[in-house]
Amino acid sequence: MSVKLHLEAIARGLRPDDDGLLSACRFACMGGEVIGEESILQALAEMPMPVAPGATLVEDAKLAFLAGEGDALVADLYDGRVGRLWRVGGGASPADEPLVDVPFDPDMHQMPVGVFFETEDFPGLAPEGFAAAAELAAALLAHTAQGHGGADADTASARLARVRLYVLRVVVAGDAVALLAAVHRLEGGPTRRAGFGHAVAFAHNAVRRFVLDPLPNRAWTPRL
Amino acid sequence: MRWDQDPAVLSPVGRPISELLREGPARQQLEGFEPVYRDIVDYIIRCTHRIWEEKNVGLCRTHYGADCTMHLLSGPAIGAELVTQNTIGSLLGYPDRRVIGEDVIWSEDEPGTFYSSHRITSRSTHMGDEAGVAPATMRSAGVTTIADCKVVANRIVEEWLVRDNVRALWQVGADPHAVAAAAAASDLEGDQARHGWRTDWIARTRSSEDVAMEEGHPAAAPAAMLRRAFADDLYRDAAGLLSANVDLRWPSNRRGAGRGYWVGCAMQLAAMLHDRAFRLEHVAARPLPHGDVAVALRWSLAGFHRGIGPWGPPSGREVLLLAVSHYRLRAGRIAEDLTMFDEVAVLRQIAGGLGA
Repeated sequence: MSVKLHLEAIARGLRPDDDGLLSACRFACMGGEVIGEESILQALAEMPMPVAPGATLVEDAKLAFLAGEGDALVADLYDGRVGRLWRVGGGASPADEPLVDVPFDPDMHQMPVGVFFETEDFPGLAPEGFAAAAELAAALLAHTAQGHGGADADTASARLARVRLYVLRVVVAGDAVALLAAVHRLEGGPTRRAGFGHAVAFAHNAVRRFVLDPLPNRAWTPRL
Repeated sequence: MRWDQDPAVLSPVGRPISELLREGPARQQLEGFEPVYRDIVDYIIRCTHRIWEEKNVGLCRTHYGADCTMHLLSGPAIGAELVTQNTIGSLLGYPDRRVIGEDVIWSEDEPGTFYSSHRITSRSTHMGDEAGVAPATMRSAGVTTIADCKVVANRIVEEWLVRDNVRALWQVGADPHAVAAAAAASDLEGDQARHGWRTDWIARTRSSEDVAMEEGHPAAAPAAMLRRAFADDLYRDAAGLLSANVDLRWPSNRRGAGRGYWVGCAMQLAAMLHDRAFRLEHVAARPLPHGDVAVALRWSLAGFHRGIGPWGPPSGREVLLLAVSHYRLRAGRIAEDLTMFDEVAVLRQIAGGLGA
């Protein structure tokens, strides 16, 4: 069974054949996280990810990106099986729980870095692939900074005081590039909301597509 | 023994459960173990499955030493009989518990003495009442636990257990502060000498040296990172050992990315704990798929709760923290950090429990 068939089944909340979803798989969606085949399939069955025929799939031996209609799945692969999974841009948190917020400074410097993406962290990525991914990440940063992915209609176009991208995964396959990033956003204004989400960017030749989680709409709680 | 000995003994990472539980010939010499166990990873994964999922809880009597000590930050549990009874009690609360083994990072510290750091995330339904926590809620639950076990001849002779207990309470609608305060009130009754284990542990943290490790051990860099942060307060220098995109999960749903976020997590602890002492208690490492390396560090932190932070107003009490960190190293840098400690037991100390 191919990785594409595995992901298409998982996107509908169905168990793929051939142990295609590992029992210890970890699944992140909309700020929540669960582990295990049963929990993952249940979450996706309740809110399936529509996948159009001919949907974009970018993959290599370790990683696959599948574009849905408005969202995307990203999978870490082990011998073609899914060992970690992200749904970006759609669905609902599979575990809506309280959390301890962490006050932090992403830059620790007066010269900020918008995109955290260093060659040392991607030892298998060829220089030309790294350059293509860096260009795509810069475009994703610009797209995010324009206010896409706000918490609601009122804030969707609100000015963001700070956006930082942490590129977590990259695939370069022929002319196609796909990347997954953790996104940290801090809203502008006197009282600000902040939080992490995920974003996916696809590029094929000159065509780019971005998928972005909304900014979490919740109170800041740096305490138990 | 070298950290990467016995290359045929694979990490469970990336392997389906059907393969992990398949019986077959031995892949490692295991003196005194049941023949069903193929290697130390299989021993940990399979006996956990047999005890918790198959409900053959009595196997605790042949898999734990009669006088074994299970070290928890809420106090030690001693003996195989207590482990057996506690397991039955836990299963009453969460009978459909799946104990999903994410990794087993192990070492053979001397011939025949194994040490495993087993990261488990459970999935279950809260079907039974729990004393001191909550009546059955039928809510879905699941938290991460790291169990560090010293294993000799089929028996766990000592164990250190850390669990994300605040998250566990949140999931069943319980208030961690209220649960910790009730436990602390109970701790104040009776003979206070029973809390001497905590005083002894704090003394070890303050006066003992870090555990030694072989030259070139992959744990050296993460260990140096923790010491640089918690002992030297040089946070940016410490974080330089992390990947720029490091993926972080700490207790109570702290999840983020990047060096700055790690510094934020470390400073949350450091800001609250004054006159701090850090000690590295154990290290292990094993190869992972795709050329990565898994590292397990068990560490303790002692300090006086004199600063504001997630644990509330300063109590002035001396607090002990026991933590286990699992790292994924890629090309020598820390790409993932999963650090676990029990913050309910910390709140219990702050409320005056456990002899604090």
